[in-house]
Amino acid sequence: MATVTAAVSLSSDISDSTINLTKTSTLTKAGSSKGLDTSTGLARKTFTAVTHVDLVSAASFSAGSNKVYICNSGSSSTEYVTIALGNNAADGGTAAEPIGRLYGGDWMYFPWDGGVDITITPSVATETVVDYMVIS
Amino acid sequence: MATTATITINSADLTGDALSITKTATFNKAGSTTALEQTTGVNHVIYTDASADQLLINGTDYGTNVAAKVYIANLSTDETEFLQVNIGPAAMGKLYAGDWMVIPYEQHDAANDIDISPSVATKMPIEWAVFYE
Repeated sequence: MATVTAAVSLSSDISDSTINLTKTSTLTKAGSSKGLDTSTGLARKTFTAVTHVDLVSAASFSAGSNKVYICNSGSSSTEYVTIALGNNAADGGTAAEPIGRLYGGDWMYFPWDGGVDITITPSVATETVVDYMVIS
Repeated sequence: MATTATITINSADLTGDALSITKTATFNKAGSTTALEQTTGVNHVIYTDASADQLLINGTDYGTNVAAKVYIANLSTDETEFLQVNIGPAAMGKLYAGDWMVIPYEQHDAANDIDISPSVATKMPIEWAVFYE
């Protein structure tokens, strides 16, 4: 049984009282203390079109307590990728629901039950490099 | 003024080689290098209602098409308890006890609310914060 930990450290001086928050979780299977034991590895994909496509296909994963990490590895403050949940443009049907934009250097980490695809739309057709990993 | 978030994912035995990822993001306004300027602060809420799709964050409260960031954690210590998180009509996933998430939040309209569904009505503690423009 593998042991995987994910930690976040958030620091902010927006308000007068500084926020310093650290949270560490051990990634386990749904409703269990058994560790998640499968991974895509840290994948890297380069996008060169402003096209709405799948980044992670739900068909490749089982429902469960999966965790997803996605990072826009670029450095541009104006170029971004939009991450959404649902059908991509070619799939048709109900359009994917946008979660948000990852600008250069931004990352996201979230639980994913594997029920719908995770899609991506780059803002520019010049190379956008995205790192991502699913731990399931 | 700055807000940063660092993620570290580690495992010695998930793959043949040790896994170690560390990445720091600085929360800036959309399309700029100017830091986000507002926050809800870190909210601590205890849920005693297991109703489905309870509104946690309104999709229009913090601007539209901007670079907001959201942090949510399930502070329960019972491994069987979870918090279902949905973005608008899309089911995202379940935060089990101790799990946390950080996402960018587009907030394009009211249909983009973040809703939660606690699995139990027995005092589930939740922590959340929004950082926005």
